[in-house]
Amino acid sequence: MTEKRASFQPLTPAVYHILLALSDGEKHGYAIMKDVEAQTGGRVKMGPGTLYGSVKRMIAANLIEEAAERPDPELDDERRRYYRLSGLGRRVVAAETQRLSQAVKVARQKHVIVCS
Amino acid sequence: MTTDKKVDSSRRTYASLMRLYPQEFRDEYGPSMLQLFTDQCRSTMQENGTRGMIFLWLRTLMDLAFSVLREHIMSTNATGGLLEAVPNKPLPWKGVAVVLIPCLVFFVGQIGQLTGQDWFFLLIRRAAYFLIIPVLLVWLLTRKFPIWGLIPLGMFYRTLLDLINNYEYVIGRTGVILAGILQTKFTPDFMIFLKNHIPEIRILITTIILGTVVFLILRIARRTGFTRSSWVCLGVFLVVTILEILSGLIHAWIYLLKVSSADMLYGNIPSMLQDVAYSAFYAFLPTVGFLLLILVGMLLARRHGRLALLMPLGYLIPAVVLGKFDNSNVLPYSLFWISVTVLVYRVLVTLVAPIWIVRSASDRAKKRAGVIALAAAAGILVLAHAGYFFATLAAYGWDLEWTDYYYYFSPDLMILVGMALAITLYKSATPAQSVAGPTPVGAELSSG
Repeated sequence: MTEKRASFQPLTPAVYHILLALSDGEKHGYAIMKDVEAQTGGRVKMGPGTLYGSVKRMIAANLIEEAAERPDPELDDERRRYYRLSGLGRRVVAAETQRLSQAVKVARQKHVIVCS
Repeated sequence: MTTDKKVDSSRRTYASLMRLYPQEFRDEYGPSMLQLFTDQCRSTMQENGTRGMIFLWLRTLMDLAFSVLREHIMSTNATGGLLEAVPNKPLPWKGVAVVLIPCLVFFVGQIGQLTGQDWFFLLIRRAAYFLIIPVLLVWLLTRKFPIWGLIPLGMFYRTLLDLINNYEYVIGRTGVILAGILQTKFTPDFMIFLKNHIPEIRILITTIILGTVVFLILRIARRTGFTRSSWVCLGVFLVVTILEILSGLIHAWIYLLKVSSADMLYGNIPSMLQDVAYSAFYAFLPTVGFLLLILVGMLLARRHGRLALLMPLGYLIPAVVLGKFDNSNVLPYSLFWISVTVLVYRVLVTLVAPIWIVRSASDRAKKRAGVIALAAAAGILVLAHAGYFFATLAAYGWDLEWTDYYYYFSPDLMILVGMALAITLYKSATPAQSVAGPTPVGAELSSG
């Protein structure tokens, strides 16, 4: 299993942010996009092509799975496709976050970034 | 324009632009993407107005350009079109375009020859080397032999056989080139060794090819098994090979008897025997070489199924349409009819046959396309050779032996039986099932 997790690393920014967006529950495409925008302070703005291209490959890689289709009460009556993390996806995002935090730790030790 | 109208017109424009994505991607995610874009438009209009919409469109167009390209490269059908076909589906047109590249190179070369261009021979002699390079690179990198590599492989194989047939010339030329590179006036020792042992090396090459043929026949018989029709075709092919060698031998012997006086004949028996042996070799190598190609195609048919027919087709593309090489200077037709015959044959094997085969959806349709297109091509060869042969006969009044008749028609017979063997052999092979499934994504996620 560790080997399988390791085979995905390093994740592309798009894949990592989508996994992170889904880590607190099921979301549809627009909600994922807004979450990613919020996570990155507006620096990463995904278009529909990048988002659904990544979703397609992540489903094929068994990182995420499709949940039941339903409308979002906050938006309108249109039915939307919801996505959620798979078990593997959850482990992969945890492993990637750990890898990144390790990198941040090293960067701090080397004074590449200053502790706040 | 009101907010709703602006959103609506943006939605319609984006819906039109979405046609740029591959069909299967659009079918799966098109409605969701359109919904997401509409949500983005509504939210942008409310928060930032028209100026925000302009920036949204700029971002969306950038996203569209990159994602369209990526989806075309990475989608299952795109991979199917460029590396291998999706079973029971016609090859996508982008795949067909790549398959046709070597055919078009040869076709342009043929037009060049018919219009008297000097670069024709250079193009035809060298094109196979350049066309095989990307095929080998992709094979090495992806570990999948691409579907568009089948025709270049057949063409390259034929060039290789021609080189072996012109072994003395190749050795001589290589010696001169090596001497130039090494900056010496003398041919390197090992080249002199190769030049002095030409008969032995011929025997060695022939033995290797024959050994490989026997090995492959045994391997295929043990692993996948021959159908009854494959065995029949193989048997007929072996009879054709034996007749080819015998006719070559007898043809050479009779010719030598005609041109030599009795004194010369009895004074130079070893030399004459060597000439006869060479004739047998020249007759033997193309026939067994073609058989080897068809058997190797069986290995490729595991991945490409019936489309492996493209490889022997690549071998047939440079076939001499009128006469044999040695008598091709005695052409009894007008230039117009030569051009028409040659062009019809080339159009058939370089354009019609490959497009028809790869665009056929089912295995049965591919077989039908292969049989009809190749039978038509072989028919043109037979008619052209027959016309050439009988016209020459009428013009020169040759005193013919039975071997002459066989000698002139054996290449056509070899092609007919060989292609029948390929069609029956590749029938039993099925394409890899994995091609229909999703593409492995580990690499894609790392690069996407």
